[in-house]
Amino acid sequence: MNSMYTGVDAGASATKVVIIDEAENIISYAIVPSGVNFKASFENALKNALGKLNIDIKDIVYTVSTGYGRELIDANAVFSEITCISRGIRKLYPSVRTIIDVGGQDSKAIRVDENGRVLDFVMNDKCAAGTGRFLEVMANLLGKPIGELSTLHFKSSNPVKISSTCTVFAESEVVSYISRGCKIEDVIAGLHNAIAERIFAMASRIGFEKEVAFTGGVAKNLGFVEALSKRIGLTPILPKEPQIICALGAALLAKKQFKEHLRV
Amino acid sequence: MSGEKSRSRVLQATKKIGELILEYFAKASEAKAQGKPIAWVTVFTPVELLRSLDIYPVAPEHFGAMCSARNFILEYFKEAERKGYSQNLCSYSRCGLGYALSGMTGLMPPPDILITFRNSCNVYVKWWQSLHMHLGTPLFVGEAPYVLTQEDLDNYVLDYVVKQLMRLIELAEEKFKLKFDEERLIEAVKLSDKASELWLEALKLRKYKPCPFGGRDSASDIFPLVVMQGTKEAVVFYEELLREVKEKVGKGEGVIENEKYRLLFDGIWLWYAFDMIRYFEDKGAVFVYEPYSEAWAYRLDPSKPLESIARKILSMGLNVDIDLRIERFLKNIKEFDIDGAVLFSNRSCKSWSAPQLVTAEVIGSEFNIPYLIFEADMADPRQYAEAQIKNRIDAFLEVLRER
Amino acid sequence: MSISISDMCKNPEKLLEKYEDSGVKVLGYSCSYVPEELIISGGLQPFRLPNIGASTSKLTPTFICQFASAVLENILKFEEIFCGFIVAHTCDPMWRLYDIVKKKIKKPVFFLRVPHNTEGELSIDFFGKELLRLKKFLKENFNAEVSNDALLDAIEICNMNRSLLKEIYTLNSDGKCCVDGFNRLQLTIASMWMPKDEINTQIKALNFKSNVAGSNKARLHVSGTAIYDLNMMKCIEDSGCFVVSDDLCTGSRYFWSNVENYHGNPIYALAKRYIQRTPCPSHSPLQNRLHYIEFMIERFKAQGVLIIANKFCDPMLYDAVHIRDALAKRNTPTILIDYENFEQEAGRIKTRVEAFIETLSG
Repeated sequence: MNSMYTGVDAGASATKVVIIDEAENIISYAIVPSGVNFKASFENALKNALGKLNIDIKDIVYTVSTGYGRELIDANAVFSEITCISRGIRKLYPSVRTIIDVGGQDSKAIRVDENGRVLDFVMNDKCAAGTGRFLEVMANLLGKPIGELSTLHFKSSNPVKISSTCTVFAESEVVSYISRGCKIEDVIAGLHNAIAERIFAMASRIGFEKEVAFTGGVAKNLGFVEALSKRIGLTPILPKEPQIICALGAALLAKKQFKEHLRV
Repeated sequence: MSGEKSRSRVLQATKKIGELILEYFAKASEAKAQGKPIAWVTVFTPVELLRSLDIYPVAPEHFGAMCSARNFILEYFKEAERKGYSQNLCSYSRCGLGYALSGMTGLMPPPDILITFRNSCNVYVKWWQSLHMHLGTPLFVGEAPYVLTQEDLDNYVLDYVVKQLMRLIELAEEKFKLKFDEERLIEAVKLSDKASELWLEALKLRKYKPCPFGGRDSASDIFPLVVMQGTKEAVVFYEELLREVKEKVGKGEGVIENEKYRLLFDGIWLWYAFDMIRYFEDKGAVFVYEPYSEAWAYRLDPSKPLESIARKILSMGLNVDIDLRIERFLKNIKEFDIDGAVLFSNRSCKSWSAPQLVTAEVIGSEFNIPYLIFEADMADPRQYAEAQIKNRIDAFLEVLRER
Repeated sequence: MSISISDMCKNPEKLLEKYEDSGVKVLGYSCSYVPEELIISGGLQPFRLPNIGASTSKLTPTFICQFASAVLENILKFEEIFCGFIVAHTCDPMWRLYDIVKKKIKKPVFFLRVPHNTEGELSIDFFGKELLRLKKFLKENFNAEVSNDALLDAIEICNMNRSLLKEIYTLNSDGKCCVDGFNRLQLTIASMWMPKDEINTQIKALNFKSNVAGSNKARLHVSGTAIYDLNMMKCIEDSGCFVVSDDLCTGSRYFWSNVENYHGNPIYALAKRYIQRTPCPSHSPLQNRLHYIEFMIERFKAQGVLIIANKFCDPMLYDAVHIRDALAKRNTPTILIDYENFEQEAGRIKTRVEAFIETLSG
């Protein structure tokens, strides 16, 4: 029998499911919007992931859930995102000592030791200004899809300065710049710099010991990645699929829990 | 608002403050080089007493105001925030702590002693404790208890403060092998009293119409009273200032040509946004009275130096009962013929801001004058929502116009 | 007056109503620097003012901590039931709470000026004089005569209460898990609201000797100021830990030391005990509190420390930096949890505590 383990990261914006096999390879994964019903989103994502490679749900022996909606999922165990992200990164990049995770509605910075043990962490989950939500609001305001922000960023030659630390006030600043005739790419680069500044301020409390990795959905935005890298002053490790690192960690924990379960 | 250049005036004396500040810091470095002890003090500390011990005082609160006004405060904030200090803490303290944590290679020399008297706020105690924890510098925490009635300026409350001053002298002599010089104390008290007298006289002249100097002057001109009390330079500065103000009153020359509204400003200034004061002035509104401007002026009695210094640090600023503070307000609103009040709800100063609404209500109802309360920070420009605040100012001025 | 402790902690209004119905004169006080002994010896029932049941006040700006704001609201709401109030000078919002209350209510209010530097005879002497002024206030406003005998009796009964609470607390010494944080907090708060003889009797009747099941949970120390909301303690412990010790104003710092040598000059003895116990975060010296925290961790074998601070609590937010530094030196993990309104943020707080507990097990 080929045992499979599932990790589900039920985020406020998106639900991510990762399925790994006994050898800890990622067999399949899926990302679906969370909406208001986490249970349904999970089932949807799972179906999606299973469907891709013709896996039978009976092969899944253990599921770990994490993220905002973790208690609402039918899982075998629950773990914090901090632990899951650390596990996920450790698997792929064992040289990482600092992880900066920027999601749809929160951002975190985690410091780990050479064994992947979490030493310290900070979170911003109250304020939109250092999260994907900030960019969503602004993209909406500017009438551009999120996917285009990165391309526009690299066209910028003269980024504007957004001084407000609050999303609502920053919106006024954006309106003011556009009405003054500033180029949209300069505004977008300015916004990326602003969100990078917020995240830098939060993360600098735990320091930036190398290697530093960026994870989370917003790390798919290469314009933002550039802004944050510049602000910190180093080149980060950027996983190919930064949005599923947390769910991967959850899946790895599922395997670990299952084995420990068996021993008991 | 068109691109017209602002036609509101500033005193010649005010333009000298920048130089005065640099001189004062230069003297501090000189003192340090000569091996004299530098004290980092909170602003209502008995500076006159320190002069008698030959201790040179510098005030990190003023440093914060200056860094904010000159636009190099953000780096210090970041240093403090990196250490873990919350952004919701007093911005002066974040600047001071950031400075202390990054080597103190700027204008303010490192301290040999940390002295605070809890009178205006409790943050003084916390901030000075934190400096002590980071730097290891000896710390003296004094207290001027909250003055509930006038009797407190004569009873065991006064006695407690005097005893603490004596204790400070004892410790300074012990720790730094200094000699307390009573003659120097009396001299410093005389000079400090003179400077206060001159400034109070100048402030009274703002009752004239048009008001001879406004917020942009008073904000800077208090500097010598804040850290240079007890020096001859402070007296000279205020003598010149008073001369100039008297001249203006004689000529009928005000801050602006067409003075329409005479306003009260309650709070510390927004050090990075003096253009906000101009914004008012360009619309015919002048600040003629601020409790902040008279907070450091206090008459001293050289025949009872320690006692009167003790009374001074008890009575300054926000350390007297709310009813006594309101009484002062009401008296001045009448005397300065105030049309409206602007109250700055300062995120960095909970001691000031917490009871502001209650004070505003009393002012509003007693005189039936409009008031505006807006929220921002005194030194952190990141918390300033300029467009929104200017909106509120416009609405307030419209209300004044209708009256 | 028999009222279940747990009911009362959830709903202190009920107890206040009982006092009102039985004609008991209740005096509200703001914090553990106010000597209950003085109030009791004047024939009045002390009642420590909580922040529960109220949210923020419209009378204060948004950046004033929710604790002070809610206490203000409770004073305004329940003014009728109390005969008067005592506000102690600790942090800035609590100081200004006095200013606001003075203008807004009719009942008598006393401002107790607690020296912020708690070291040295000068401070004890000054505080002693403040206590004499308080004695005068009680006489003038409530005809409450504080006789020497009454004061000695009050000190004795309060000392007894504190000793009983300490006995329960120290059952968790050296790695034992007998009484969880929830139960200890409940008893401490009850002691601040109920008549002393009543609560002492109830505590004596309790039996916490055996080790609680699930004692392989993470052992945590909670550092903070005043927590009245038992739900908060429950939320923390439900995240998978056992709160073995604390340095809260409504926790161990309330009862850790007794009034001593009080027969000669009880006012002086009171002043000495209240000033020289481990200081509140708003007071000096900070090192005393750091030592106290280290002592607690050592004695009760805590594996980690939760620093709980209201988002606008200046004293705790300055202290958090130094607590973290001090504990990092002895390799004790810490986490700062700041919040604005516990009820709305319970989920958020739980997330952090859970994550922290996970990091402890490695």
